[in-house]
Amino acid sequence: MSLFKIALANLKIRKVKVLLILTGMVLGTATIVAMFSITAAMEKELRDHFDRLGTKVLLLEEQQERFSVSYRGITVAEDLGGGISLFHMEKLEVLKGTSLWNNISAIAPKLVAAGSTSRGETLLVLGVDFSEEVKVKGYWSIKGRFPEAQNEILLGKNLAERLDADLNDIISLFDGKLFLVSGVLAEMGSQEDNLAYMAIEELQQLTGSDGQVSMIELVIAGDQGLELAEQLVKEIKAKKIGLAGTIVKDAVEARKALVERFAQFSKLIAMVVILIGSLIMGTTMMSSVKERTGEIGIFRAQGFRKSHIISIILYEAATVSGLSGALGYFAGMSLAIVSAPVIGQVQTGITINPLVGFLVIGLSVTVGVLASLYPAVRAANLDPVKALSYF
Amino acid sequence: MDKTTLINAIKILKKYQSGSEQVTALGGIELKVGKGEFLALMGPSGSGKSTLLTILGALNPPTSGSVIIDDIDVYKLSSERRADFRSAYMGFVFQQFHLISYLTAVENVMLPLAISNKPHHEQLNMAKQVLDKVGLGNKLNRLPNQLSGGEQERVAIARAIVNEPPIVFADEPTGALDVKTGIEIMKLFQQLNGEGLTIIMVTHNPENLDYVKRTVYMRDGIIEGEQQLS
Repeated sequence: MSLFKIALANLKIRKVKVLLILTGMVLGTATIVAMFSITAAMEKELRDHFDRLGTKVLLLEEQQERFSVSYRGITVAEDLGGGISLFHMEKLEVLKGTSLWNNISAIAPKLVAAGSTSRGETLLVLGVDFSEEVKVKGYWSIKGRFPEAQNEILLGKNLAERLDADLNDIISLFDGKLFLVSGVLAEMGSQEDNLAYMAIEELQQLTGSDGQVSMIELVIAGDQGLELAEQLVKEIKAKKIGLAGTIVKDAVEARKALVERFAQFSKLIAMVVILIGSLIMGTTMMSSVKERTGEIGIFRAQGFRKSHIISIILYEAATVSGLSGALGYFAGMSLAIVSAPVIGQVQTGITINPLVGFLVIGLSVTVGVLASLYPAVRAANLDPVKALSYF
Repeated sequence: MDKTTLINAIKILKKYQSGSEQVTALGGIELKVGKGEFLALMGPSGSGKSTLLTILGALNPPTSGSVIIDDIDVYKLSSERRADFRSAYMGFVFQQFHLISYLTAVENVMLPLAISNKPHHEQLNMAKQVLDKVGLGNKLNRLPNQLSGGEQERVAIARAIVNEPPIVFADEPTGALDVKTGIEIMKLFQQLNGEGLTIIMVTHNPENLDYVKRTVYMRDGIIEGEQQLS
């Protein structure tokens, strides 16, 4: 016989009460587990997105936003005939000493220029550094390959159709300069479908703007990208180098805000559930102590210390809440897997982690034991003689 | 203190607050109980005999006075040390048996051992031995509601002596039993007393006095007289 066995034996005969409290706590635990699992999956999805694509900042000459050619939602040129304000890449050197510089994972310079084919078709050409550009355009899908030589060109889907050009065709641009079509981009449904891409050095040479760019796209990797990007924009403004930074906000940013709100909501729900769970446990243990007053008198008469009585009550609480935690974890994970696509619009990312399972059980036991502490102390402080008279 | 005296109650005063009124339950009791005695406390209801039993049993601090057991002033001990003292020195048998309903006979008997450091198998052996002694060796795994009143009382006695305490306190041990079973229980107490156990018993039943060595008569919280029976 041990104190734990006494606690277990008592739980066995109070099946209905144990079942009711177990159901309540399992539901509560399952709710918390499900909400946090969905939140975690949503956050993971976002992290993966930011890790893959990062947060982007466009650097332009100040006042460039007036132009009407938009790139990624930012207006980059309006009156091409009037010329686009260009700037030297060296302007970026000023940022190299700052703490933010190390967080920049890609620097993709771009030069925008208008051109025409030998057949008189006009087009917009974007000079890029392909090794950096692919880091920015993680979503690009290409037929063929990226240009590797100065005389190679990549075409957007719509432009290729308009020019009636395909892979390995030769097109003539900028007064008879010949370019091999090395690749055609898959349709993206954006303005990128209408552009031609070539090595930036080549375009700079063709347009007589050596070392100059129209804009630079910077990528900040990681899920803290947005905050760092905001700092970077401020930093650039403070440096007064004639450049303005604009954060490229896409749907993911809106999604991030949604996930953050969902996470806060989950925390609130968890707090309410823990409070209700504590009240259920505390009330049940209180009534259990009252029912067992005579029994406690017997224990005390047999020489049980107050600490022994407290141990018996807390063993019961820990057993019920531990079991609730375990069942609640599995119920919650099942609920999360079923409901994640509906609630969080998350298709994957719900993973069963034994460590989390143990943490949930630990939390459940902690809540159960803390909630039972007052009833347990009350039971221990019962006057043995009065307690015996309850028998 | 006399070497043969095990319990010495000195000027035990016990007062209760009942509403606005203060009731004197015990009015300065002086009582000595020797080692190996079988003492009966007799008296009408409200005479204070059960109160005296709980005070002697280290369960109920007196308003004033002291209880010395084996040279230890029981009520000078802290509440937790007093619990340890009860565990080591005392067993209790109650009128309504006071068995734990969800524990089997053998588990009920093992209860006082649950707070000892004895391993399970040793606890089990000790419990089986005392259940054998009280004649219930074949009903170890019965729950209290599967036992007769007399059998429940035997389990309660087994529980009181399993720890081999020097003293057993019994409060109306035959009060809930028929005459025949009551006699069997008293014979069992007599047998245990013969083995050296000190027993202090509260009883209403004059027939039980045939088995005790001394009777103390109480009325209105004081000792009215006593009789040495053997």
